[in-house]
This record gives sequence, structure tokens and C-alpha cells, in this order.
Amino acid sequence: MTTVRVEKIRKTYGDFVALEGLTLDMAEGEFVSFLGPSGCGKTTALRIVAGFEFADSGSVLIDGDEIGPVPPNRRNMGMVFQNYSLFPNMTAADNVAFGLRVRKQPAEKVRRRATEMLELVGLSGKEGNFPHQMSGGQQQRVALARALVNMPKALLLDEPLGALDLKLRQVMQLELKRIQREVGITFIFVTHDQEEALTMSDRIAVMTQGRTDQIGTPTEIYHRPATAFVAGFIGTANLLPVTVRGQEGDQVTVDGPGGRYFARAEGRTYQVGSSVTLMVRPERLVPSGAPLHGAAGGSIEATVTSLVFQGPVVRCQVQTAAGVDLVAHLGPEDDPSSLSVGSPVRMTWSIDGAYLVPEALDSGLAGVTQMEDDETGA
Amino acid sequence: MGIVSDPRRRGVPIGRWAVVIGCVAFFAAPLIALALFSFTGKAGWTADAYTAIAKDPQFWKSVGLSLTLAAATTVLSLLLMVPTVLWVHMRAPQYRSLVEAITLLVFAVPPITLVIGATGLLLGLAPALLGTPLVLVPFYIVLSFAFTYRALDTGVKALDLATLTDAAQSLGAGPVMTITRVILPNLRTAILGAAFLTITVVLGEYVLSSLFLYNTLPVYMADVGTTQAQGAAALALITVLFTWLLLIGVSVITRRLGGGRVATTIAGV
Ligand SMILES: Nc1ncnc2c1ncn2[C@@H]1O[C@H](COP(=O)(O)OP(=O)(O)OP(=O)(O)O)[C@@H](O)[C@H]1O
Ligand SMILES: [Mg+2]
Repeated sequence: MTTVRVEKIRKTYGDFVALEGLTLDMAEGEFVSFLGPSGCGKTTALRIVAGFEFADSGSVLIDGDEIGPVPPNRRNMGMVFQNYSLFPNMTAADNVAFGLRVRKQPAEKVRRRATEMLELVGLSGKEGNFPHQMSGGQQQRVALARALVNMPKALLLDEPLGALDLKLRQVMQLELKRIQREVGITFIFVTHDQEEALTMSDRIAVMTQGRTDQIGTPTEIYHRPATAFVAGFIGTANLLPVTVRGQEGDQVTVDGPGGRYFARAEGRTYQVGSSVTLMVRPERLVPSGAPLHGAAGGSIEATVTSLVFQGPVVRCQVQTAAGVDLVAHLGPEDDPSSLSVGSPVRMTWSIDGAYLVPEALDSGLAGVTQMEDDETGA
Repeated sequence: MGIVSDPRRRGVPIGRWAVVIGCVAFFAAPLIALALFSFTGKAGWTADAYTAIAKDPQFWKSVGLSLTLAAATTVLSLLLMVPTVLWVHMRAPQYRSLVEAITLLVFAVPPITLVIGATGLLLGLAPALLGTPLVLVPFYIVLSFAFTYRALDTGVKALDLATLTDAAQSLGAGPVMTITRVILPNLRTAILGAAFLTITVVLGEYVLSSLFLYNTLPVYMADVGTTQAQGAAALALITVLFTWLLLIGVSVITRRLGGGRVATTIAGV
């Protein structure tokens, strides 16, 4: 049973704080993603776990033991890098065998394990290829096999698919998941691609500016974001700044820019008058008249500004009287054909389609978060 | 061959060949002339110049001296420069331009100044060295700095040294193993290139050795040239051919090491 725990890690570069109080527990065989925008400290966190960087304070614990002073070559942490890191002078098999040879394993075992590992990553028959004779995807597979050959305590992956094109990336995502299930090792996976994180992770740690905003399962993070940043970073969200008017049991009444809304308290207690954020996902926002699942949560007057057919859904963008842009993903049952650009519409949602983020929203951030498909992987 | 049937292609090879032939002529003509001259005697063709050289014990002494100096310089210069370049790249990138400037410094100092200055220094530090031709070695090392540094620097830049080191370490390799098993093997080509450049610098160096009054190959060649022109031509040709042989040798070894040797290790995975 290997557990990895990072505790209150702080790391500075000069005056710049790269990590501030990062705390995270990872269980054996868990697939955990560090997700966050560029520069938020994901690589730094990973390199501290690997032992390449040292934290100013805080600790890294493996199975409860502090490994702060242990050098990287004694930690047995596997690592896969974003840029191709294979040893150019060695074949695929020799690259994979490197870790075993370093540990002076008998030649027979080295040969057998190298072959096994290459088979695991789907590269049987490529044993004799040099890195320059392989594609980017193949090289990353070899890198994966090489990092797993010593059965590390955890495998650290720093945007390993970042350099691959979209198609290959999707194939490799599934492959990685399969391999992780087969070897049962904890994977710590760094990415700035939210879709990738949602697809692959058991849990996601969403990071901003050196802190974790939220740690949770993909479902929790998507449906119950802890901060407005998380709401916007994971998928698309419509965010409205609202003020709490009252709470009756599980139901919270709030006032927003376009009227009075209702939401679930989700076990929290709200102070009357406090500023919070109301989130409605695009798939929960519908024109009035379309079927609502459950009690009404609120509605808002708006004008249709664009309608884009996207296959399974129609992406409908509207602007409220206050100038806030919202986005709805309309399915066939929402009757999108009745809408036209420029026409007024009342957008509505059910009480269960709304979620209160217990954090005030900067008024500049009101409306739909700009996380469209073309953003991923940018 | 489709050249004749395709009218558009016909002109291109001719133009190309003209350039190639022009270049070959430009470089080959002096060499051919040199060769012809070296085989000229009072009564037609003769290899007298070569036999005379071969019989001259001073020639062999000079060859021996030059090769010894070349070997000593190459080994010491690599021992000095490989760690320096690695250190600068991995630990002290802020000193890169400084080190680069230092390697070029020697070109800013006239040889005679270098000799007088350094002799003074050596008199204090290692007077014994002054009496032997090995005194030239430190000078040659300095002279070859610029070439050695550049060859190694280019080789290191072509590698992602930081990532390779991290990868090796995460696989359990300590610093020594990382250097011997990962970094140096990937720098083999660069190291051979640096060695080759150093050897050519030493084999061609005249000014310093004549200032120190040591009879290295270039000094011997100049001496011969003052008395017998054919002999000097023959020596020049021998030197050129030797250098070529060295170059070919280096590239053959490089190619072997690049694919062949590693390929044999695979067999024993
Ligand atoms: N050696 C260093 N010296 C100074 N600042 C650094 C150093 N390494 C990282 N930083 C800074 O620390 C912050 C976090 O860097 P880090 O590489 O961890 O980001 P990241 O989340 O991995 O980003 P990306 O997605 O772009 O890879 C960045 O703002 C970066 O500029
Ligand atoms: Mg990074």
C-alpha cells in the first residue's frame, strides 16, 4: 500500500511564490490530476514530489515517511516528461532496460522485463528502434514503459501528451488509463486540459496561483465547484453575482441582476446579505416553454445573439438586459428552431440545475466563462 | 534514367555538375600541382623527395614529437573542457558568455606576448617544464579552447541535458552513472569532433613551436622548405593526406558508434 501525501508545501523563486500551502493525499492506485492554467505551479509541485526541487517548507510523505532529504535517484518515483526525454543513444529496449541495469538486475531478467513492458505499452517489435526512428506517440509510450519498469511508488506525468495532436492524444488517454489499471500504481498527472483531466482522473486537484482551489472527483468538481474559478475552468459555466435574501431549510433565495432565484443550500448555511455566485451549466439553461426537470429555479430576460448548430446540441448565446452574455446548449426537446437571432427570449432553469458557489463574483466575470473547445490544448 | 525524356530536368544536373566541378577544380588544382611538384626531379618524375624525407631521422623525430604533443593536448584539453561545458550548461548558465569569451581571448593576444608572458609564469610555477617540448602543451590547450569549446557546446545544445539528467535520476542513476551512461555516450560525436580539431590545431601550429625552438612537424617542414622545395611540397602533401585520413577515421568511428555499437548492445538486452 503506497500512499503519497504532500503537506503544506510552499515554494518560492526569489520574491515569487510558486506554491503556497499545497496539500494533497493520494491513495494507492489512484489517478490524480493536477489541473490548472499555465504558470500555476503544476510542474513545480511534481518536481518537488520527484525530488528535483526542494520545498521551502512543508513535506512530502511516502507511506507516512518524510522523504524531503532523499535524492531523486533513491525515491523510486517514475517520471514521464512533456518533451521527449528518451536517451537518444539507446534503442527502445535499452531505454526501458536502463532502470533495471542501474539496479544491477541479472541480464535475463532485464531482457524479459524490457520486452514485457514494451508489450504493455503496445510496442512489441519496436525493441531495436532508436528514438529518432519512432513517432512522438511511440516515444512517449517507451518513456512510459521506461518509467514503469522499476515499479515505482508513484508515476509522475508532466503533460505527457502535450506535444501530441488531438487524435493521438485521445488514443493515448485511453491507453494511459488502461495501463494504469493494469499496473495499479498511483499516477499523478499534470495537465492544463480540463477535458483530459475529466476523462482520466479519479480525482482532480484544480490549481491556481500555487494553491489548490478544490480537490475532488470529476463529478464533484463539475457539479459542485468550490470557487468561481473552478466553475469556469472546468467546462463552460454561466455565472451570476447574487446576494443571499434568505434560507429556508435546504432552499436558498437570492437576488440577482435579472430577478429572484432559488438554489439548494447543499448543507451549507448562508448569511443573509452575503454575496455569492450562482452557476448554471449551459445544458441546464433553456428557453421558457421547454421542459424543466424539477421546480423552477429562476429565469432571466434576454435577447438571442447567436445560434450555432453543433450536431447534438445547438449552442445558443443570449445577452441579458444588463449586458451579461449567457450560453445554453439546447437539445431537440428544447425546440431551438423556435428561436431566431435578435428575438427576445426568457431563459429559465430548474432549481437543481443551479448551484451556489460560496464565493463572491467579481462583476467583470459575470456571464458565460470563455472555455470553448478551441481553448483546450492551447 | 528519366533525365533525357524529361526536358525540364535536363538543364538542372548540368548546372549542378558545373558547380561541383568548379569547386573540385578550385580545391584540387593546388593539391594536384603540389603533388606533381613534389614528384618532380632534375631528370623527370622521381620519388626522391619522399625517400629523402623517409631517410631523415629528424623527420621521424618531428613526427613523433608532433603526435605526442597532439595526444597530450587532446587528452588534457578534453579533460578540461568536457566538465567545463557540462558545468556551464547544467549549473551555471549565467557564465556561458563569459566562458565563451575566455575561449576566444587567445586570439586577441599576439603569440610572442603569450610566450613571453607565459614563460615568466612557468619559470615561477614549473621551471622543469620549460626545458622539455611539453611546455608547448599548455599553449596548445589554450589555442584549441575556442575549437574544443564550440564543438562540445554544439553537441550539448543538441541534447536536452536537463531532461535527460532528470530522467536518468528518476530511474535510479546517480550523478556518475548519469554522466557515464547517458551524457557522455550522447556527446561522443561532439567529443570526437573536438579531438579532431585539437589534433589539427597542434599538427599545424608553427609560430609557438618555432619561438620555443622545438622541431615539430611544421617547423621541420619550414626548415626543409628553405633548402629543398620538393621536400617541402612532399611534406605538405603528407600532412594534408594525414589530416584527411584522420577526418575519415573520425567520421567512420562516429558512424559506428552512432548505430553499430549500440545495435550490438541490443542483441544482449
Ligand atoms: N527555476 C525557476 N525560477 C524562477 N521562477 C520559476 C522557476 N521555475 C518555475 N518558476 C515560476 O513558477 C511558476 C510555476 O511554474 P510551473 O512550471 O510549475 O508552472 P506550470 O503550472 O507547470 O505551468 P505550465 O502549464 O505552463 O507548464 C511560474 O510562474 C514560473 O515562472
Ligand atoms: Mg509545467
